[in-house]
Amino acid sequence: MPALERELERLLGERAVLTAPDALLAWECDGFTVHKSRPRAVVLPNSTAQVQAVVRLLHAAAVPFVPRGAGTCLSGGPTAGADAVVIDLARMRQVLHVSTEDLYAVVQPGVVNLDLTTAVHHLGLHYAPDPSSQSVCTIGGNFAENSGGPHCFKYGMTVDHVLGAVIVLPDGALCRLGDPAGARLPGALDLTAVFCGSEGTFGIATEITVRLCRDQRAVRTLLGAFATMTAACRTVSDIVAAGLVPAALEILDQATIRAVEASVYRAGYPADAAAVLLVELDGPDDVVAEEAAEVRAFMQQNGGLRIEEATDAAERKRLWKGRKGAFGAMGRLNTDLYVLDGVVPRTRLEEALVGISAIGQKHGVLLTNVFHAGDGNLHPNISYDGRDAAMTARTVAAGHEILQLCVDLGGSVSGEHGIGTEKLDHVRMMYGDADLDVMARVRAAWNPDGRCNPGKVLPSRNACAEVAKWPQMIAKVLDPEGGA
Amino acid sequence: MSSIAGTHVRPRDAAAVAEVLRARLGRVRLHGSGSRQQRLEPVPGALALDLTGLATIDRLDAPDQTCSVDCGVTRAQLDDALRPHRLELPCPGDGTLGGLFASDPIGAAAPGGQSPRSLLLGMDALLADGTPFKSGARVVKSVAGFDVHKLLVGSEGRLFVATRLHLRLKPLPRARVAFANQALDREAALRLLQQLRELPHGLQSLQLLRVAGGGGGWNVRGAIAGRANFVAATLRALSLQESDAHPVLHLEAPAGGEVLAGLALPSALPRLLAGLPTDAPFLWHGGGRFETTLPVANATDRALAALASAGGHARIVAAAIGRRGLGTPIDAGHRSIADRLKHALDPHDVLC
Amino acid sequence: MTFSADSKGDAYARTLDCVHCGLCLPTCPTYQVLGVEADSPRGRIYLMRALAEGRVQDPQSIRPFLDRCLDCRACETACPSGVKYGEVLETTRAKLEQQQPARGLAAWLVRTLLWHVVAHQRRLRIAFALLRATERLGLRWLATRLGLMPAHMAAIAPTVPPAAERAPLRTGLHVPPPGVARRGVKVALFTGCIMEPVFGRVNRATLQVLLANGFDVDVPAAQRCCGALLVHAGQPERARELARANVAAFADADLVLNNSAGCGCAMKEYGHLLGDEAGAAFGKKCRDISEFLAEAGLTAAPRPLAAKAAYDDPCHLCHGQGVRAQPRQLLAQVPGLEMVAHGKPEDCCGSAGIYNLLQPDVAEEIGRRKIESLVRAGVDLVVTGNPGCMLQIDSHLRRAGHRIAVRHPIELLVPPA
Repeated sequence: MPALERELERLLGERAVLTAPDALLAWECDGFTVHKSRPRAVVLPNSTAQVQAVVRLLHAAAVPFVPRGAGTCLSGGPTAGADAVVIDLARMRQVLHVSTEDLYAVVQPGVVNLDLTTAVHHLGLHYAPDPSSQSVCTIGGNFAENSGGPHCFKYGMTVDHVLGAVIVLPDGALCRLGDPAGARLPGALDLTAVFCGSEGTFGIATEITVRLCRDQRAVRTLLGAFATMTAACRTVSDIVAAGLVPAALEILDQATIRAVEASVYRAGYPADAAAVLLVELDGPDDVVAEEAAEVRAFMQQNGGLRIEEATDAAERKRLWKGRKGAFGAMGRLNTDLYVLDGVVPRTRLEEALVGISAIGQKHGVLLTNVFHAGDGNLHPNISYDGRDAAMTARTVAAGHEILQLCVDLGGSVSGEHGIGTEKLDHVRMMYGDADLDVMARVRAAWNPDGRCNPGKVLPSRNACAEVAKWPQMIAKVLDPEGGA
Repeated sequence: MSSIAGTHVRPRDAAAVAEVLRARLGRVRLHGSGSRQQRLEPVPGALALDLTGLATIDRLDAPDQTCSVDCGVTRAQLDDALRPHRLELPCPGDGTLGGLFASDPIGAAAPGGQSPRSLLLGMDALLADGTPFKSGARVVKSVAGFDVHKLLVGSEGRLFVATRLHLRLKPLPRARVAFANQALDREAALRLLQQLRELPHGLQSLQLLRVAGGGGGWNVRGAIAGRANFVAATLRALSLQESDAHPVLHLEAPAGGEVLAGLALPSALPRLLAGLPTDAPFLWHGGGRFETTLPVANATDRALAALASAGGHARIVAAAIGRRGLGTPIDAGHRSIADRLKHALDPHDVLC
Repeated sequence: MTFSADSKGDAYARTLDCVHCGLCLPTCPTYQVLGVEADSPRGRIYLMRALAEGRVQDPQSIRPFLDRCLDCRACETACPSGVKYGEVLETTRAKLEQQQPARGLAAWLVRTLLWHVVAHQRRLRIAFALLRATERLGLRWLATRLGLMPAHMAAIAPTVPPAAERAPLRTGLHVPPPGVARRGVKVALFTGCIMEPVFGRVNRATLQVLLANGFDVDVPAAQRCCGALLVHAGQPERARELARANVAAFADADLVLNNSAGCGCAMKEYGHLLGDEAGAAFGKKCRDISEFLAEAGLTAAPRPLAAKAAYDDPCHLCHGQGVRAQPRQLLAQVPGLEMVAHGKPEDCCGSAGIYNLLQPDVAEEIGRRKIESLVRAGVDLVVTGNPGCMLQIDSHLRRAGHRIAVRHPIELLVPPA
């Protein structure tokens, strides 16, 4: 065993260091399975001090490293190069402190998003950001990615809920950001906000202070089934134009509905509907009742085929079940899934969906759509078979065109999944060299040697058309001899 | 265009600002409308770059609830433009929007409320050498690239010149009623504050205020928003007194005195107040920021020492020359990153 | 390597259903305890897929991760893609075991015990008689001290009940006692290899409840162990032998009832194990006792019991067979019994067949979490329908000094004498 690995074992103990090459395959990728790379080693520290010791050692040895939570990222953020050590934070999962008076919690980065809410549920509190993977994904990962979720239409993204953090900087020094009383200290920069969404390239957060929200007195979820996607989108526009701020506004298209209904997450969505719209309202009882009546009226005006309303927790859970399981249920359609994450102004949703469907047809790929309609955050999913190089190439080409369409409509290439390695090319659709240069300067202030999660977020200057190489990358993984 | 350092220039658009910067006229101090919120000390010898000439509302997409505005657009100007669309920028503050975001003097108005950081979607900006760049997006949600624009908040114009801001807007509530319960004793005020904080819904702003003179005791002020019946019921349930008084955004320093601004958790308020002179004017915003005024420098120093020992954070935001910016210690790691960011973005320390 | 492209087969195809979403991670007992991706269902599927693709250089090096799986199937309940994890795992384990049988004393002991003792009822009875004898003589203590029996094994090995409790059910047909209205339905009862010697009382209660509720009950003499433990240990050939014997033993029955979730799950999956129609047809005849009684309805009211109880779902009942509501529905009919919810009833208790013998550390931690949740609920009684779970929970409760009894649901359904 090389000296570095021995030294890591000395720091963390044998059981917290994995070096067997075959076992390391399990850390080859996250939820974005196109890019695969086996790390040099995986370490599982259990405290800030251990993370710091590991990072100091790796810094001194000039070895790159990659922080990782639950590996549910959809853009390759925690995928590590063959020379890099994965710092897996899954064992740092303690809720360190909860303040019911001041409404915040201090957690370790490996705490699972939903576990935090479960831990404070009996106090009438919850942690608001709720990515669809909330039962798995970690707060550390959410902080690194600035994760969203269905409820960020009303409650905001992760950045709006993080008050501070303890960061192990890439050289092993500690840095304390923010305070439970406020993310930005008086007279200082809002480093908490800029760290959020840095995708693990600025350092490793080992303690995170997050805001807790009080549970609303009443919550109602409405489901509207529509004969056309247009009708569903118009209903959303009507709701927003009326000044209502639902906690969530989600749409699933027909192909998604069918996949979900065939899975264990079946929620009883009508399989013949072209679109299902989920609207969640929360607030005081009478207000929610009035708002529900308004939403129902908008659904009816737009020709809703079926309208359901859930007031108790079990029924709401059922309606949401299909939405939360939608991504995984796509596994039923083909062996692989490419999840896109484009954003358009909400007012241009219909236009975007028409364009996306045309792109799908042009490339002959199986496209499904499930999206945060309130935010205009689309998730076109392309189901494909990675063993079929031609199909993969068509998938990649369609994805590229869809993201270009989103940018052309005034939007973004990512609403919540991040850039990672996946969108290194697509970032250029939004930003020019000067913009990327400024971002690189900001990164260098945190990570001057570039060894903390290298190769993510910013394209290297000379790299072009990385995406074009994907089909070969996939083929090579599946047929190692053939690719050599 | 003027090119003499130490004078005042007022360009009309971003291109003209870039031209000024490219001319490399030495140190540059950005100015907005001179609103009290900035409270910056003058820098002798620096060029005063007045950005109030950049005053166009470039884009107002009411259905999408976003807009793009020049940095010199004032809060009042934006409010007027938004009112017909029944929209608002739901964070407190006045003056130019560039100044409001760069100084972020108040944060959020209510616990868990919107602060400038959560409303800033993106920006067009210039580096100190005049190079234009952009960050973020115009849509309500984007995680593409690093959020350089979030560095604007609290930067006081020392990192780059944000010439255009992309902002998120929110619908005006159907009803909103301001209240002010006045002349309470401290315990009653804190009790009411607690009751208001326990509302799961509808508290749009909250302030705890003790005005100069002290004789009037404590005021608890704020606004309840939502549907009319809900607002009325909430006012009744908590015996809140309707009021049409303007919210107090800042405290004024007494002659020769100083203003201290900081962060305070609700649970820390009693301890914080115990460390201040008993009649010091005091203002706490529900989002967690407080301000207090102290008559003389050594009273401020004592208050800062008390705060520091309790792990609190505060800084002097208005004082005699040389004292502004002094405060409780900031973490060394934080300071070092901030210094490196300044060096990375403005290596010649032009913006001051 | 033996897993060449042409032998990938069905199990490989099933790994492709996984889109790496990770929704299974929080449901996996070993991932919860260890926090290691390779010890999660997603990680194991990924490793098994890589194995099938020929990307694993030393298959034995990934084996510890596969061996640590409890086969609780909680991940199948959570999987939106419908990955048949259990089948993939069992197939892969069998291949690895075939290639190179697991080494070590525990593995040898297990193989020996499983095949030569557990799978043969008579030998098993003798073994338990011996165990009982050693216990009476204080030999268990001695065996532990002398290192003949590992301490962790001694800690979880059940206290062997007296001979009367271990007595097997009389085979052949039983009919309802006089005075009970017969329903005209005949069911066959599967008695199970562990249930009988360790929890003979559960088998007797099952028979009693069925008879009191008007059913004719046949206990075929030719029945054998269900084979589940052999399947889990990667020995499907031997399991098939037992399965065929059971298919034959129950050939005349329309309904085969069992009171052991692990056996029930395995028998329902005989179609996959045997790969034939007869196996599939047998599987369709199998019912858990709670499943059957909830559907048929109780005609004899259970004996009143003033107690506070929590029901804990055996993995092979809730995840393996999708039976969740039925036991709860039946328990709700026990007069005076207060059922309370507890933490995570569907989480594995760590028993998982013989897992606690093979992976004592992990099983210990999983078990500790389970009783922590039960104790917090403040109950007098834990109710669960699988002998392994009953043993595991009981031993953890006893060792932690809690006086909380563990019962099978059927024991609470016995009508007053």
